Amino acid sequence: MRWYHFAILVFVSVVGVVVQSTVGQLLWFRTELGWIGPELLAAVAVFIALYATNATDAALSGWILGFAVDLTVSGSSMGLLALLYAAGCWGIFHVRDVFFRDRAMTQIIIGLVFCVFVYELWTVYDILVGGRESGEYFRPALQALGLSIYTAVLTPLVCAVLKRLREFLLPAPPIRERR
Amino acid sequence: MSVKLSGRSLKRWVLVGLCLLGVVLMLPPAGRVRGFCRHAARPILVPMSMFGTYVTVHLRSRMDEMTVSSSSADEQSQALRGQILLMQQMIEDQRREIRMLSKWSGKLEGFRCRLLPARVIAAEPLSLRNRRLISAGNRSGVGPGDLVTTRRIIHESDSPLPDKLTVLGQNYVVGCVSNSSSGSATLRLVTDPYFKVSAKLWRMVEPGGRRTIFLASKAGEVEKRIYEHSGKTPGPERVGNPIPVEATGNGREVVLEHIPSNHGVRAGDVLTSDGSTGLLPFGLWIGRVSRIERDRNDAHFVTVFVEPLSDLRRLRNVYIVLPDGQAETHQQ
Repeated sequence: MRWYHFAILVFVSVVGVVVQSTVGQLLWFRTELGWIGPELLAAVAVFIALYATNATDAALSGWILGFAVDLTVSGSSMGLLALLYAAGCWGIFHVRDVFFRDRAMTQIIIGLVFCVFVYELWTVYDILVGGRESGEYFRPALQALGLSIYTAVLTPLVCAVLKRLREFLLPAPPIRERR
Repeated sequence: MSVKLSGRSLKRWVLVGLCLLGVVLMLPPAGRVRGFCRHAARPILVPMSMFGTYVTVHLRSRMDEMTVSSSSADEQSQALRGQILLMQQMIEDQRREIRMLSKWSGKLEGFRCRLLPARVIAAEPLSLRNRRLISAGNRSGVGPGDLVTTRRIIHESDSPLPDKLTVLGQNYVVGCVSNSSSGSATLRLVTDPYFKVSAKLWRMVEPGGRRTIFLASKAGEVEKRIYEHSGKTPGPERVGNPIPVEATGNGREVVLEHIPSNHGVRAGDVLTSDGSTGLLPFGLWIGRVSRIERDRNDAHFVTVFVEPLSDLRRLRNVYIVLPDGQAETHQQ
């Protein structure tokens, strides 16, 4: 990836986080656990990790996307999502060859694993550091699982949209892949 | 013109640096750095978010209008009749409140405060948190603990409202400011798990109905009292003394724990603010009791769940209650 790819990714992150915190709420629904809504930037991170040219690029992109969410989430956990996104993208890059990454089911499974990894850890950290008073620890973990499932279901859709914009986000794929 | 990175190693060093930055930001002493990062991002995020929120609110209103138009005329007229009754009750409540305030104004000092208008600009990007970012800040003297109320009016979007119409402010409490910086602040909703406030729970009696309440007398005996609706108002009336409670959120609704079951709390009872903190006037509505569950550990207590009266998903214009004393402190 070149510098301008990262610059475009920063722009995509900002737009994504704004959409998620405004219009994206229309996709939220209420459950017994609380509000469940998709995490669109996680789906973007999965796409980048699946199609990045090397692990460092994937991790750097993940850090940028995670930091965009970090900037807009309240609380003192800034930095954690950036690290978890970077680690998640790095991990996906290393396991992606085992799967057929163009398949929707692959994207759903990888999206689910990525979100569970990121948001369950983030929730645990939030519970430990945030000093929750109501004593409900199981519910936030289940809520994070709900978010992960919802995001995973939408991941193929986000990947399909981003695939059309691939030339702006990622360098051209190698010739073998293009065939 | 694109600039090629000198190599993969440079990217690795950048990644290591960013990861270290992430770790540093997580440390408790880095609060100022976190504040600086958020502050630096706001000039870009805030205008974009305001536009996005505007679009969202209007989309929701349109969706509601489409839903309403598909219902039958009978259902619509019934809904309107219900609204008229509610408005009448609100007018009556306001009149009673004004009478009460004018009666007690000599004895009580009165609650002197300033309502600071603010606008909801965005929600948290993650559904795991139930907070809203609002566009008031330290410049306006907002500080943690200031409570936020919203005022909503019923109007038809296609026809403009004439001037000099009285706006019946519903004055529902929707949350409090949890942290603020110059130009913006975070509104913690009443349903947030970290929200906590002292409140009063009022028992209500429906028109034509009666309600039995057991009161503890000074001698320690339990006295039975039956209250009837006066018939002066079309809506429910408050009866008996309010029950002092501690309200907190559970992410979905407001929860009142360890309420003695002999208070006889029922669905439909109303939760209002408690003036004891000095941050909020007494008697502002927060929510209505939706269900009651018996305490698992002690049958003498119940847990009361309260549905907020305000539509928290459609918050846009809110008012921050700034007591006069607080305003002076903040300005200093």
